[in-house]
Amino acid sequence: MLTTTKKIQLLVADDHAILRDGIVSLLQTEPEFQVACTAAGGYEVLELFGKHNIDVCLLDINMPGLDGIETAKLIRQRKPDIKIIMLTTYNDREIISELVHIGVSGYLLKNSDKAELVEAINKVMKGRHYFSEEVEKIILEGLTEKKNIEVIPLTERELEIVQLLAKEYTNEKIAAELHISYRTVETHRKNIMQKTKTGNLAGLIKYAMNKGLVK
Amino acid sequence: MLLKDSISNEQSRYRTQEINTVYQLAEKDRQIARQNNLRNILIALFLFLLLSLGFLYNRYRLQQRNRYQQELNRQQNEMFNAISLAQEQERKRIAQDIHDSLGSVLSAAKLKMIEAKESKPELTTDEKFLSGIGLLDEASAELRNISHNIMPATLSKLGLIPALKNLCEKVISHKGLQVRFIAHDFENRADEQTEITIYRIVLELINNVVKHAAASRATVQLVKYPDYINITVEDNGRGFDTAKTADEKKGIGLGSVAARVDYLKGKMDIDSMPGKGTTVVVDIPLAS
Repeated sequence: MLTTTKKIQLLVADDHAILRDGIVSLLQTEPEFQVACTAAGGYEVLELFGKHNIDVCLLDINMPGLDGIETAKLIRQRKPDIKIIMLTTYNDREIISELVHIGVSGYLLKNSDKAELVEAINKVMKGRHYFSEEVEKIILEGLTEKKNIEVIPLTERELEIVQLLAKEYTNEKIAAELHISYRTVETHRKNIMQKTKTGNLAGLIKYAMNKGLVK
Repeated sequence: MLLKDSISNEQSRYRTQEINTVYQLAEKDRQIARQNNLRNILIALFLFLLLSLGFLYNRYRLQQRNRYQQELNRQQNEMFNAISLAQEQERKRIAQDIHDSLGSVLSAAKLKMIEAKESKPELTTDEKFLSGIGLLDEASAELRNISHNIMPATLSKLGLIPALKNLCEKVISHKGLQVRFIAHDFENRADEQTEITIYRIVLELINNVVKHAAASRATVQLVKYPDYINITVEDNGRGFDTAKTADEKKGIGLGSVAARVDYLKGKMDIDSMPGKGTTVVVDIPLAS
């Protein structure tokens, strides 16, 4: 026999009552779970922590006042022991990775079925992570495409320009060589200087040589 | 003799008189001429004055018209700004409404069906019931797409740079165009309207590359300067003749980009050559 204190204490936060009730009634059928309280917004969630001993917090992202992302951040800072599972319809990669970065333990899309929800709660209680299949796919795609998106300081065009500058080309000659306008060369040069934080041509060439961009 | 004298006297008097008359006539002529001269000068002066007045009046009217035109332009700009602001706010509201209200109802409906499945095991093999659940999932996915196209959640939740990163990733996976995205020095978010407008500018520039450039690679770069943001979108596509008329540029989608750039009081420069790709450079000033 399980006593009530051994049940996993849950907090369900969603601003839509119809959905909140749906999640609650789904969870309540599981004997090892206890929905301790529900909230309709981020501030309410933070208040409830004082009154209840919560193990796992199920958070929606879109909530009035403090949204799910901000709420997750604050929970991480104030109550690092509480596990957070996002339960949302957002499947944008940047939002997912932002939340993973904040330190949520699970990320479920609202089209998940009950088995997934139960598995997620049980897994995060054991200190592991749980992501919906779709979410996992999105995270993995992000890793493989990383090289295209990676923030590298210089673009190919900029690199070409640096190399021509190192060969003592003037802006006019560079424009003719690369079939672009003088003005575009100027823009690229300004951007290169801004990005490499070099103030003049000599500084830029020195930077390029240090980084092995030119021989 | 005397008579002759008198006659000749008479004659000479007559002649003197004649001379006098002629002289007087000439004098009169001269007087008239002098008067005429004076009159001509006066007329000329008058005409000159009239002309200058006309000229001044004309200039005044032109200035008035210019001022009027400027005022009209300013009002039109303001109107355009107000409209696009309202439009974007409306988009945001609609996107959130669709996503939130309708999305939640769909999710709740799905939860109910899952619950039903839990309590009635025979439903787990009921194909109609299961395809109903499948349709609900489809509806949710469709709804997310629609809401994303109206206003991407990443943009309103996380800001311009994550939203653009997301956009470039989507283009890579859906359109097969290799897009490199570089953002330099964007720690702080700009105001919402600026972010949304820049997002739409880049979105349209990328759409242009996808639709018209026949390019295999593109670079999207945003560099932040203390007082402005530089946006550069380059592609290695077929390029075009920049001497094309403004109307034709509108046709390839640059018209609405220009309107948005104007809205942010920015500058746009298009550098392209047939066969040599296209570089669009946009500078957006930042309010200090």
